[in-house]
Amino acid sequence: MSRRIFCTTSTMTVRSFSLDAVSLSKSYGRTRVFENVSFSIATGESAAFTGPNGSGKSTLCDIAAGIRRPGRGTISHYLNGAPLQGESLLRVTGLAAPRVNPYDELTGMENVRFAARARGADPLTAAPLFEFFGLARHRDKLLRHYSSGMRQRLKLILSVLHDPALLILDEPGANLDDEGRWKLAEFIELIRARTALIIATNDRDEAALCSSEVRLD
Amino acid sequence: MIEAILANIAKDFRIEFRRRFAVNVALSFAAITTLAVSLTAGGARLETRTHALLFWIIIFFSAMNGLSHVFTREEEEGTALFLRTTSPELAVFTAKLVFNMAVMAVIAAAVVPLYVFFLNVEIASPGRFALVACAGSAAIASSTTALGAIVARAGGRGSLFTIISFPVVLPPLWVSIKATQSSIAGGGAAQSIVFLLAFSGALVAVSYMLFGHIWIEE
Amino acid sequence: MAITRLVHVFMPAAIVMAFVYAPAAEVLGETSRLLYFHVPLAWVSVMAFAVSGIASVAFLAGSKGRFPAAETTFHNSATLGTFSALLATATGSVWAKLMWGSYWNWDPRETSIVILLLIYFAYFSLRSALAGKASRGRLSAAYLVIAMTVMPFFVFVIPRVFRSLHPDPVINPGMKILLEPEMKLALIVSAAAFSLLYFHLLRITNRVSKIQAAMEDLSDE
Repeated sequence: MSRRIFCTTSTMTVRSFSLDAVSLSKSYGRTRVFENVSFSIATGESAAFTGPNGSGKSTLCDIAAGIRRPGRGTISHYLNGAPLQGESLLRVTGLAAPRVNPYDELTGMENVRFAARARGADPLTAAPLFEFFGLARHRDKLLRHYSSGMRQRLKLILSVLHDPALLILDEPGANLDDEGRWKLAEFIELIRARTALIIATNDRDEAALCSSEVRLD
Repeated sequence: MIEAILANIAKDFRIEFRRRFAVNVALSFAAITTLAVSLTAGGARLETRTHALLFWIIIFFSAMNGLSHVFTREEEEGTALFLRTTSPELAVFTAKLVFNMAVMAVIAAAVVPLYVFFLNVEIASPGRFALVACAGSAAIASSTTALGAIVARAGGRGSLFTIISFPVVLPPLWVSIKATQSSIAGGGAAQSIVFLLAFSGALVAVSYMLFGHIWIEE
Repeated sequence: MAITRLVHVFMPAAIVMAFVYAPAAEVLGETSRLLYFHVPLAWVSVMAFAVSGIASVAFLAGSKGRFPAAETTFHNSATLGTFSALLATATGSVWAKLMWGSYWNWDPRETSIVILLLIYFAYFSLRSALAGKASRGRLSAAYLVIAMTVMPFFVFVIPRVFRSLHPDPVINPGMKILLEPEMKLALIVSAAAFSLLYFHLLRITNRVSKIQAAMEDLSDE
């Protein structure tokens, strides 16, 4: 199954990714979102960010992905021992989140081709992903005509098409029907061994997909 | 990186081609203003200095109506984070800069014939005139792309972009006006064009250095 | 504090020297005394802008949070610079009326100060649009850096675009005001006094900002 989805030879290479977060705090003006959060995650491991609404799960996801600065504390990413920053971090990270929205004016495939080219990945790897997540028929439809469930599936495809070493999923089951959720779980099992996985969620079943938990409240 | 830049350019142009928002607004403004000027002038013969002035005022305000769009659109449509997770900063900035240059090219391509035709301007050195129009437009795009990024993060209210762009665009505007006046009258413009290119170069360089700070989420 | 003491010494000295010690100029008469206020104010507004620019660079360069205090410095310096520029414009305008008969003439120096005011206006507009946002410091610093980059181009262009009425001993030797030694001394003392005043006020406003921030932190606990 892995070979069918990722047609490149990337499944053959062994990679060792690690993320270390020490004492992360974030405030906006006078509102403290979270304080003193530390965690580590490496290839093959998975962590769930849990907590009530407004506890900062999404903010923490952004910080883990390297697209948002922490207020205090440090976070570092390493791949095979070498530190990752900026562009190099971008190429190995995938983030699917409610506020990360692809372009409505482009088709599903155009969005995928854009994301692949921008990250230096091969757009052809996406075709089997469309099949897997049941979007093959809608590949060439403009995103503005997608339903919310289809949009969520496309977001998932966009976050995994470059075989990221770090995959962060913020409420991945949102808007998905049962079949969608089942496919998501199946996909996670496929990539689990070679990915560092973070899932931010309020859903107990989704959190159960991870081996450790970071509670925010 | 080149691939990322090209992907972003293709994406921005494709979206603009389908929505045509920035180009429509800028072109409408340019056309209406040029017509307004020529209609209210009522066939009066204007001095070359006045022509140069009006020409660049039209171009400046058309630019103010079109150049902030490329960044504001990302924030308003909610695609900014998606862009941040897929594309390196340098690629994003380069593509937006190329896009803004293209918008300026469209504006200039519209205003030049309309203005010359409707206001009956006889240009002694048309080649030089065209060069100055290009260099000046490029200077405006070079300096305001980073400013557009700043304004987009600040809520993108239309007049804010004009307020913060005006002082920055003033030097190339002055020089372009002088050089345009000179080329209508048949004089030289080489020094001015060098100035405009130097200005563009300096502003692009500074914008690249600052863009990382502007683009990152806080 | 040392600066406060110096201000207490220099400022009265400057005022006395301007009105009593320095003689009235030949052609300009008593109106020449405006020199001792107008020129230092213009000088301070430029210096304040330079300090803002440098502090902005420091703020951005120290990205790992090494110079967070630089934000208060560039903001307060911008505020002081604006006041200074407004006063310089006002005094210059009055003097222009007395000397050349009209309040405004668009000569290079007058144009420069208007541009400086435009930049400050743009800066404050940007700040207020960014109110409450975490990125306010970085974005306003970035704007000041861009404005600073444009300055050399202004300095190059303005004299070529606008004819000069300003007597300018530095750039335009042909139009010197002949300054007698007492006048030169009075001018230097005044320039020093206003510069010291600027640094003094900058220190005070920075301290006020720090206290305000500390109070906000305390009120959260």
